[in-house]
Amino acid sequence: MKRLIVLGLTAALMPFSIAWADLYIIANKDLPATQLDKEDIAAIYLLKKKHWENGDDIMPINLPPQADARTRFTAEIFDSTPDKLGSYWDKMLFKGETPPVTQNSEQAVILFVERIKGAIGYVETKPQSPQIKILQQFSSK
Amino acid sequence: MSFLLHSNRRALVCAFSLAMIYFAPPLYADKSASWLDAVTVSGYAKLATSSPNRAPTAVELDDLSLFVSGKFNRWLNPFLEAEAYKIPLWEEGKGAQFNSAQLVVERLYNDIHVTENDTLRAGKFLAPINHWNIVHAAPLVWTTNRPVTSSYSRANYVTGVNVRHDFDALSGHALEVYWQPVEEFNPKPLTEHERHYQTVAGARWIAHEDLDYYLGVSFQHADVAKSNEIRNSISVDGNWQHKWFELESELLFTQVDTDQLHYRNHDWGGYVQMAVPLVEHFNLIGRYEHFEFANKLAATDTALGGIVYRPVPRLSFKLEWQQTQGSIFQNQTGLYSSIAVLF
Amino acid sequence: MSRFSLSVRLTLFFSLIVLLVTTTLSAVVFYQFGEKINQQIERNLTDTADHKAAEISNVLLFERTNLLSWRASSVMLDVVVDDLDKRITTELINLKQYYQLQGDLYVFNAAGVLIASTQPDVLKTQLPPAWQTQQDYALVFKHEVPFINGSVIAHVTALKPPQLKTQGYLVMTHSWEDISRLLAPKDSSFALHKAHEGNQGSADLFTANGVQTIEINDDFSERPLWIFDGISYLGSISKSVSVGDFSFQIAAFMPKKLALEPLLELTKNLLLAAALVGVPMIVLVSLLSRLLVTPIKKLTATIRTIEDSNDLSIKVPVSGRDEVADLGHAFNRMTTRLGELFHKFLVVEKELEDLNLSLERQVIDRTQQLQDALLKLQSAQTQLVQSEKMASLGQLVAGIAHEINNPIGAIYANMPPLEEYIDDIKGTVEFAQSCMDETEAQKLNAHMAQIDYTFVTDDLAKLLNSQKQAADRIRNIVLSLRNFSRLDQGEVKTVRLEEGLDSTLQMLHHNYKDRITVEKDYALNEMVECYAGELNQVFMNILANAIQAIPDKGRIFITTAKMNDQAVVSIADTGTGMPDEVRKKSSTLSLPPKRWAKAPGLACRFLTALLKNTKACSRLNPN
Repeated sequence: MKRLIVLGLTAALMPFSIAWADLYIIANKDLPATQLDKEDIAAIYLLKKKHWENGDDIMPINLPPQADARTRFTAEIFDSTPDKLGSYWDKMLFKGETPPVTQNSEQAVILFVERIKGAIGYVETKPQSPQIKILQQFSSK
Repeated sequence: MSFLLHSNRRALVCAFSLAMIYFAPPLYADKSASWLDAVTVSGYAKLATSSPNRAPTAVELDDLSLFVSGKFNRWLNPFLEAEAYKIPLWEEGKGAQFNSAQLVVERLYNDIHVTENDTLRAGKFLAPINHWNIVHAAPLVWTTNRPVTSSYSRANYVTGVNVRHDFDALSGHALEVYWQPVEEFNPKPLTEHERHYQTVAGARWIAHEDLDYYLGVSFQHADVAKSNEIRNSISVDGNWQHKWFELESELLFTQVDTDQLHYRNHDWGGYVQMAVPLVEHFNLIGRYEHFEFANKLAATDTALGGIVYRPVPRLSFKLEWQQTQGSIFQNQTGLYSSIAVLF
Repeated sequence: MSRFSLSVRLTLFFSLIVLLVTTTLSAVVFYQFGEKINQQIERNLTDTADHKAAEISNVLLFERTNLLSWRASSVMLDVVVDDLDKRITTELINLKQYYQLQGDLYVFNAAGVLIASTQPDVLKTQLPPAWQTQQDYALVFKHEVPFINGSVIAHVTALKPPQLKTQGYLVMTHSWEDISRLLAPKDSSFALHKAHEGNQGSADLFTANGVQTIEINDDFSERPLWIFDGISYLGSISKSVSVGDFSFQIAAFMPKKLALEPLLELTKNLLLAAALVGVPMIVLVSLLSRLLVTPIKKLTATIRTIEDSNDLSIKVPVSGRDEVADLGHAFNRMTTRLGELFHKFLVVEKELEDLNLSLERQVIDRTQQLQDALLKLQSAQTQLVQSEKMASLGQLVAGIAHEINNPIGAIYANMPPLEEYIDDIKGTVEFAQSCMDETEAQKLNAHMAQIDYTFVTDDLAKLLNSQKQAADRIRNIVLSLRNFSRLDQGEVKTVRLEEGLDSTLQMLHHNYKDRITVEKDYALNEMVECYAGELNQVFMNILANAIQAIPDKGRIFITTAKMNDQAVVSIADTGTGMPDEVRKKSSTLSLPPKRWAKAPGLACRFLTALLKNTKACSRLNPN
């Protein structure tokens, strides 16, 4: 319950018209990669691609299942729903793979990506921080 | 609903409902994965009740499994799964019993990522014969009872080496080849499996495996331990995740070369399963299976119908009725339920 | 009941036993169990201490386990973003509520800034030095931090996601006050002692009066007694317990009085039990003894009755079948048997008396006989001695006689020559006279007148004559002696009794000469075969007695005669009489011609015996 309230508040702080915002795939500025296409992103989030070119571990970050951004992301990248992806990650867990970590808000995702070098996440707010680079951007259709 | 007249079953259904209400919150709260130095620890538990027509009702902790996986570097990625299985908790006529538990090392292997696309696995691992065997954890499957086709007739575990080559990571196109030179490590006793295997060799070609569907073809050649039996099997299994339903099926043919009593020279069978999401995390499950055993005269026909409540992906409550006709293998006609949690 | 009564003695004895047993038991119990109870108390205290230590350790370990599992929660990853979405805070609060934690939870980020806490209004506080650790987990013992009131114990663990460095710290506190509550004294008081090397240091002791600091040293277990606030305690220390790398021990103290209560209780109970058991037992014993004593008394009464009445046919009344009844029966049988025996006894006694009397008589007879024999023996002995004397005397006399004979012979032989020579000499003198002239004859006559030659020559002849007579007498005496002694050799000889009598008289001559006149009437004058020696002795004795019997003047009459075939010698004197008993036996010797036995003799009785023995009929006529 509290989470929903918090989420709502956070969402309220964000700019309106989520559905028409762009989806940004962000990562730490120090990463060698500059661009990622859908397949790469999918591979990362399906826990199939685990390392950057420089050898650093990739740490994909999720938003909570209820978040619109996540739904948007899942639809955009996988053309699927968060539930199904969730099942998939559970199966991966059974096989010994760690699912992506979840942060509760986009601020948190941004901060996380700022602080942890190998992290990658998706947000709908364009991040302003100089520590972040945008690897991909999806505009709403 | 004649089966509800049976007092035990009524109790079962009540208990099931109560368990849902009571267990859900704390189980949900109790999720953890350790952060100790790249080691992930998780597990799952399955509490099952069975109320067959012609056998006593029993409640047992069917699986209590813990797995630890470590990711250190390219060469060292160990995995261990230890399972306590079939712990009877209560049996009709015998009362509560808490003193028997059987522990087995279900998996113990190390992955070496030779390249980005090639992995060498050595140790004891699940045989890649079909999807169900690789992902058979109760919280990840739709029914309490596993289809015969998915487990019988072939080696489910391999103690040896496995080479996997991913052609395309995204589509999941891959090929796995495995080999067990001697015999299984820490096998489950023969009450749990029909037979122990000596040398096993096999391959699985995964045509496609992603979020939408998967399709695979598996071959296996197995020598049965302590006997002259040789089994050669081929199977096809696939799964399709549609927006409104999930469909799963497998077909198996095993040529059995044995000097024990047999009615035919092969096992063969298959099942079709459908899961339909209903309202609010409830899912309706239906399955039909037909199987002919080499060593049983009559074929087994099983029809299953169940309901699964999955409030969160890691927790599921299942209740199903299975109707078995013909030879009995493992599960008779009756009511079955289970609670499964992944943590 | 006299003090020697069985019942009294039994009762006293048993009471003594009970008392002794009770005392001994109590002493043994006190001693042995005292020790054991002390040990037990020691052990119990140690157990209590161990339990308390385990209790505290469990509490702490529980918290630790929880902490370690919470830190692995995926929510903790938010520490990277300083808990921007307050997920950690929410989680902490949930955990605190659900687990009802006594203390608070704190999460610090990598920079040591507090980003989430269950304690309100403390965010952004810096991580206190006490909570800084390089280890994965640490337990910080009682300490204080600026933002918490009171002392706390803290569990500190690092938050380190996989493949990342430490991103922060998770801390759980537990107030010291709560721990103190666990250590509050109940029956025992406790002290928590942080264990480290040397096992020394101070510990907080929690007593009813509050907390005080005590010293704990290595020799804790050896110290038997502790004194706090004037009360003695027994103390024990638990094993060392670890939580993480923090080890501690609990010392438990119990007031000595409390500890020893069970022992006193036990003793009291024991004494009470002894009393409770003793009293009925004593009553039972009295009854039992009475049961035993009554039949004995009956028995005694009956015996007394028997004694008084002397009637052995009285029987003891017997009842029952126990040992006392057996005694009664046995007693009855015994009295019956005794009665029979007594009767037999009386009979035997009578016989004995009679026997005794006859024996007495026999004894008197035998004694008399023995006395007679003794007398006879004595006289025989005297006679023997005398005989021996006489024998030796005889031998001596014979010897002397023989010896004297030779000189007498010489004298006799020399007598005639002597007479001749004297004659020669006389002749010579005469011749000389004849040849001489006047002057010379005168001289010679003067000289002869001087020596009284005429007398001399006359006297010479008389002297020679008396010499001859004397020599004759000597010869006669010697002959008599020889005769006498020769005859005293115990052989049968044929002699003339008269010669013997004469010899004897000759020898006794000096005793009776001029006093007593001996008148002989020898009519026998025949050779008689007899023991001449002995007979001569007899003659000697009788004659000596006769002589002795005549005090002054008197006469002795000796006659020998032949009567029938026997020689009879009769000796009588006019002396004073003999005593009566001797008188009974007078001596008149009658000798059969043959068969004489040898026998010495002295005095009258002996004489009698001798005479008897010589088979001579003799009658001693005292007159």
